[in-house]
Amino acid sequence: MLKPPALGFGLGLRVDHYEAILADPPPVDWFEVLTENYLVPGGKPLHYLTRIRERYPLAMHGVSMSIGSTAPLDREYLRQVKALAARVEPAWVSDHLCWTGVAGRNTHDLLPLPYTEEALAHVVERVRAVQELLGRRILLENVSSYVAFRDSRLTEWEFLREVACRADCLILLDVNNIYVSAVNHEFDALEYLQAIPPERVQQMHLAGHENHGDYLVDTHDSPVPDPVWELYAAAVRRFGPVSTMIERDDHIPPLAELCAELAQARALCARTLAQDGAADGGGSTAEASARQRPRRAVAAGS
Amino acid sequence: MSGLAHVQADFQDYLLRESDAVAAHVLGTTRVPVATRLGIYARAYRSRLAEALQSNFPALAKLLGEADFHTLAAAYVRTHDSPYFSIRYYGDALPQLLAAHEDYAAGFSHPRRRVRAHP
Repeated sequence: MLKPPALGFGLGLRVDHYEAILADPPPVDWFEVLTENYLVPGGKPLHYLTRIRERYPLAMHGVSMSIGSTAPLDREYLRQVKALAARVEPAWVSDHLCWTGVAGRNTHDLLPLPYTEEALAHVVERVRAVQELLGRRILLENVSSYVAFRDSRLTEWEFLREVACRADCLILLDVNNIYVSAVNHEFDALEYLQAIPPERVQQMHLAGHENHGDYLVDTHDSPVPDPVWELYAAAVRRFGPVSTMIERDDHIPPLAELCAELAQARALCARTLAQDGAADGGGSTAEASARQRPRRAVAAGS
Repeated sequence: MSGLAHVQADFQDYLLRESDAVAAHVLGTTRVPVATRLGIYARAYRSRLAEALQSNFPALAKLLGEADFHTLAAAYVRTHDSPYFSIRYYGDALPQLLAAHEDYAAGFSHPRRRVRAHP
């Protein structure tokens, strides 16, 4: 199975930064764009998208596929996603392993699935259908969650792995979401990483969350906190130098601030791979060593 | 109805109609009980749609002021689901809601007074 080549370190493209990016192109390897923002007939969003695409590789990230819903796939939405992909030629197209609504309604939230064999078979069939329709392999992202379902018979990481392997899709691993869910559901975040096959991981997300004491809420409105950086280092050890980006959706700071945070990610990744390479006596590549030494990781999770 | 369809219908009914059938499907912990967990989703649903109204109707939000717009948005979210794949289209029936409501209709017939009331 061939994965697209890694893009390096990217940022989520946000409206507030359009002008700054064009005026003085920042040291960002690629941008992730929110698909729905550009499913419009024309105007400002597409104008900026085209100009930024001329300078940077892009990945398309959607929130409306509702891959786990029992409602029929929205073929009109998928047609528009395909048309946008033909226009911007993204490195890849991603969405979330979740459902967003049924019965013709959209809750505009990324709702969790019960981890059952029934849900697994349902999602696998739909991922295959979407990939056939779009003519490309997609990435699915793990969402953060606050409830567990009584019906669940698999862990979240087993469910994600099985979806990816059975439907032959790729994974967008959101490190913050793993951390948030690990705290909320009291599981070990490292066990999660261990269960995910490295050859399926195409991208990673980094973000911040809100601490409510007994639980965490995935808000994407603050810098990446220390426990998420620690878990990221563990992910780099296991998955190697996977394309990574910082996702900020609220309280969006100036571009320079996000670039500084991205430089932190770049440095942590390089440092982690170098340490692993050194620990291996330099006999293998850093990436291979990351895969051979997955258990040597910092404590994280809750 | 399949197990998955059942869970999704009940979960959505909880978000849209505050129906409590979903509670039978979910698990809590001693640290974080079911009601707290579900409440995170309910609050997120309402605030996300209200925020969407604010972004989709920035001039109206400015005209009414924060408190009045919040009241209006909460009333709209309670009575209007979103059938759209993109949240940017949410709020299409807001003009009708305003027209049908005496207070707002009066406000619009005297827009200058409303602006002065909420500078």
